[in-house]
Amino acid sequence: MSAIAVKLRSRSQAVRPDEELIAEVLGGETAAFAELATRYRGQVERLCQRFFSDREIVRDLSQESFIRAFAGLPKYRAEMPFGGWLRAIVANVCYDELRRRQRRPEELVADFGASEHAWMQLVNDATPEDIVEAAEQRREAHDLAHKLLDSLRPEDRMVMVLKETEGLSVSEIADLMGWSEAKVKIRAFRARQIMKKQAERILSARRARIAR
Amino acid sequence: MNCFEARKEFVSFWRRTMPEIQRVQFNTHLRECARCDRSFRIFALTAPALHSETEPETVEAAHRTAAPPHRPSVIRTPVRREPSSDTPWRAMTMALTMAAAAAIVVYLSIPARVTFEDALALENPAIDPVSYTVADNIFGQELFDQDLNVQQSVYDGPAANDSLE
Repeated sequence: MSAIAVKLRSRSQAVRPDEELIAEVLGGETAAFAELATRYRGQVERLCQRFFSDREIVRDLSQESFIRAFAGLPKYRAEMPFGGWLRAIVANVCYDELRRRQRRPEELVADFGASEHAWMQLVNDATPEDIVEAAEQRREAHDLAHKLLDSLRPEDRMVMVLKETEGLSVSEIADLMGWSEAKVKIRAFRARQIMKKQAERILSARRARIAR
Repeated sequence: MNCFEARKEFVSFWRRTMPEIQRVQFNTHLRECARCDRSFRIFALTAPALHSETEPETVEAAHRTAAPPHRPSVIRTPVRREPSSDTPWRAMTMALTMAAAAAIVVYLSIPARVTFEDALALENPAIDPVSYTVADNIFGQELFDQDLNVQQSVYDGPAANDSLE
C-alpha cells in the first residue's frame, strides 16, 4: 500500500471532535490547529463579511482572529463550544477594527455609483422575489448595504450584526461584548432607527427623482 | 398572513428558506399591504450585508448606466469605496485556485503519520512514524514565543465601558 493511499485513508476517517484537536494543540501538536482553522474558516470569514465588504480586510481580520485564538487557547474553557468562543474573538477583532476606522475623520460619500443607483431603483420598483434574486448576483447590492451600515457607530453596528445576523439574544451579546443589557437594548433600538431613517431617505429620494 | 407574521418572515424569505405555500401568502400580503411592502424594501437595502450567505463576485454589467450628476450623499461613512471592476476578481480567483493547487501538492508531499497497524500492512514495515515538529506549524516559531507573553485574555473582550452615551 503506498504512502499516499495510507495518508488518504487515515484522513478520510471520522472527523475528530474539536476537544480532541484542542488537546493535541495544547499538548504541543500544533498542526492540529490547522485542522481547526480549516474547519471554522468559512464561519469566521462570513462573520467578518458582515462588517467589511473588502475581501483583503476580511482575510486579514480572519487571520488575526485565528492568531488570537491560537495564542489564547491555553485560556479556553471546555464548558463553552469552541465555535462560540471563536465567534467572541472574531467579534472583538471586528469591533477593534471598526473603532480604529471610526477615529478617522468622516468622509462624505461624494456620490453613489451608477450601478448602485440602478440597484436602488430596482429595490424601489421590482417585486420582492426579483429583489431577492437580483441581490444574489449584484455586487453593488452588498456595497450599498455596507455603505448604509458604515454610517452606524461601531457599538450600534456590532449589536445589529450580532442580533440580526447571528441571532444572539440581548444577554448573549452583553456577555460577549462585556456590556450591560441596557446598553445592548439601547444600541439595538438606535441602530434600527438610524437604518430605517437612512433607507427611507434613499428610497424617498429615488421616488422623488422619478416623479420629476 | 397578517402584518406581524409577514414582517417576522423577512429573513427567511430573503434566505429562501420559507416553504412554498408560505412564500405565496407572503407575496400576496406584500402586494396588498403598502406598509409591509415599504418595510420589506427598506429591509432589502441592508439585507445583502446582514442576511445573504454569499457575496457576488462581479457587478452585473448589463445594468450599468451613465453616471448621474454629482451631488453629495446623505450617507456619511469613514470608508472610501473604490469603483469595482471584474479584472481584480478574476485575478484573485486565479490566484486562489493556484494557491489551492499548490497547497494540495504540498499537503500530499508531507510524509504520512503511520500507525502501528499501517506499518505492519506496508511492504516495508521499517518505516518510522513521522511526527510534526514545532517548526512545521503554520504560524511559525515566533507565535510560541509570543504565547508566553500574552497578557490579555482575548475571551474577556474589550474593557467594560457601560456608559450609555
